[in-house]
Formats: sequence, C-alpha cells, structure tokens
Amino acid sequence: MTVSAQSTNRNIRAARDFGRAAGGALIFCLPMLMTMELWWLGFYLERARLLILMASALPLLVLLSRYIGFEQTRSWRDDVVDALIALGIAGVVCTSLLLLFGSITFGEPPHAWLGKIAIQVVPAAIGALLAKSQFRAQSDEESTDQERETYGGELFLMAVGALFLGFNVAPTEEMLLIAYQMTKWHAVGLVVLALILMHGFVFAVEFAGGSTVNEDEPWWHAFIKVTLPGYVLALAISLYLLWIFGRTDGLAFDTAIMATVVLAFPAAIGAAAARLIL
Amino acid sequence: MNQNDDAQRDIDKPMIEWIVGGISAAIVAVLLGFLVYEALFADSLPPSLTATIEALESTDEGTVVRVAVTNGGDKAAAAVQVQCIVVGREGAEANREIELDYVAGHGVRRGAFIFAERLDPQLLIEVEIVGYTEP
Repeated sequence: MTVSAQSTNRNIRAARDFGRAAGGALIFCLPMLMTMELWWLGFYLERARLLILMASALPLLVLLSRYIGFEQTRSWRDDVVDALIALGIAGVVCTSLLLLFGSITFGEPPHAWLGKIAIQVVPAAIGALLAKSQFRAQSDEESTDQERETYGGELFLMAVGALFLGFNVAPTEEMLLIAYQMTKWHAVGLVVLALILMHGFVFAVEFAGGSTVNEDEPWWHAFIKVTLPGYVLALAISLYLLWIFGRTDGLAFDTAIMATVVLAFPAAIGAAAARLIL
Repeated sequence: MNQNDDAQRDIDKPMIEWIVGGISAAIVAVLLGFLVYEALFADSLPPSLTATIEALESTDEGTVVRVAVTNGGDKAAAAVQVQCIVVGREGAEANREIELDYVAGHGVRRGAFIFAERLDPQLLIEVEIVGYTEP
C-alpha cells in the first residue's frame, strides 16, 4: 500500500470515529436538548455549580475512556485526549442543535448561551465516548469484556448508567412534583421496587455473562455485592444531580430525601441495565 | 507464581466486595428506616404559609420588594399566590401579585414585587398569601 493510500485510510477512519461519537452524543443528549428546564437552567444556574459539573465530568470522561472509550487506549494521556475530543464533539453537536432549535440566539448575552451549552455538553460527551465502544464492540468484544471484569469497573459502569438515565430527568420539575405527591409509604414502595427491578437486571445479566458474581452463589450474594452498592450509587448520583440543577434549594431535609428517592428510581434502572445498554 | 497471584486476588476481591456491600446495605437500611419512621410517626399537616418581606431595594427603575414564603406545614403547596399591598399617604393603594409554582413542606421559596415608583420605606407595605392548590 502506498503512503498516500494509508493516510487516506486513516482519514476515513478518523472521520468515521468522529461521526460515531457525534451520533452517540446526539442519542444521549437529544431528550435534554429538547427540555425547556435545561435552557432556563443554562442562564440562571449559579456559575459555581456549572463549574463543579464540568470539573467532575472530566475525570469521569477520562475513566470512561479508560474502560470503554474510543480506541483501545494505551496510556492515561490518550484517555485525557479522548475525553477532551469527546467534549469538543459534544460541544459542536449541542451548539448546532440549540442554534437550530432557536433556543440560543445572537441577541442573548454570552453567559446565557454559554451556560445553555455547558450544561448539555457533559451528558453529550458521555454519549460520544460510549457510542464508540458500542459500535466497536463487535470487533473487540473479548478485550473490552476482560476490562469490565473487575468489581470496580462494574460499579463504575453502573454509575455511568445511573448518570445517563438520571441526567435526562433530573432537571425536570416533575422530580419535585412527584416527590410532593407521594407519601413516605409511597417512597418506601419505590425503594423496594427499585431494588427488586435492579436485582432482576443484575440477575439477567449474570446469565449473559461478564458479571463478577459466580452463578453458583446464592441470589443474596449478588444482591449484597452488586445490587445494593448499585442502588447506593444511584442515590448518591441522584442527590448530586438534584443539587447541581438547584432542585434541592429551599427544601427541607425529608423533602430532599424524597426527591432523591424519586430520581434514584430511573437512575437505579440505568445502573442495573448499564451492562445491557452501554 | 501466576496461580498464587490469582488465588491471592480471589481472596482479596470478595473481601472488598463484601465490605462495599455491607456499607451499602447499612445505607439502604437507614434510608428505609427513616422513611418508615416518618411514615409512622411524623405529622402530615396541611400547608401553612407565611410571607415576610426580606428587603426593600430602591433602584433606578423603582422599588423591588423581596419576599420569602415559608411553608410551616408538612405538605407542599402549589400555585401559591402572594399579594403585596402598599398603602400611600393619601390612603391610595397599590397592588401587586406573584405566583410561586411550589412551596415544599418546611421549605422556603423567594420572589419579588416590582413597583415602578420609588416607595417610601415609611409607607405601610404588607404581603399576604392569597391562596394555593394541592400539587
């Protein structure tokens, strides 16, 4: 093969990779891009929280790239570069769509449209990184599966799943509205149902293979080792997201707990299904 | 050598898994305990709303009356209407109304009334709750 043909090949591959990443960003982020609460949050959210969101996203993206990202990465430096590329692609995707939806206009002050884009970029970047692993999975299944085998990796993947589903609903007003409608007994029921459904997913995935839990262990081993930590992760991520989006402001302790339990329901499903959907 | 390493890892791994699992079980137990305790013993009082003036700010555009609405009840109130009445020197009244979408039980929400004219702080300014709906 000639040198020019090789470089053309590489260019095609790079273009395809960027395309996949953009597609992933779109799939993850579209529901959020079309949610009006997020446009508003973009300009009224405290800049400090936006900064914390971005700052906490970077290590997450680097870790994500480490586990299941873009190419078979060799060093942490590559992972950081991949995370930054994902953020860049996410930025382009979010900016173009928000422009097309007319939700950012040139008449607005820069802090307003910057905020609107910044708040969307994080989930879109997660999508961009995941998409590459998704499309790539067929060819490299063995190597990625081996990396997912560790317990830490499994919990990390659950956290990403929780973040994925949580992000989509956390900014909506319905999270609080549902919490207001519920009594404490409803909340108890929701926690129990979340645990049952989660364990159903964990159990189903065990048969699909790749879990750290042995098949001949009794069911409650997996429940304690995987399901419960997964649910606690979902709770923690829910509280974090509610706080980032300013949904816990002015709430009493028990109402904040209720809202966290409400958001933890989709987050838990996301966590448990992470292995299936990511 | 390799087998020894593997065996060592197999012993270490479940230990960590059980520790993480144990801590998680404790957290979920505390959460469920809290919710059941609240369900059994906590009151479930209807919304009890009070509005208070937090600040009176004079700007070039007029006066901003900042108000905080506190819900002393256990249940949340929706569509909370708040009214601000200013009684002038000649007895003339100015009225403003705002609506807060929700005020959670034992929660606080803030808002502001805007008057185009500069208000004398000596004037009688009152805020009151007009009404609310159930969420």
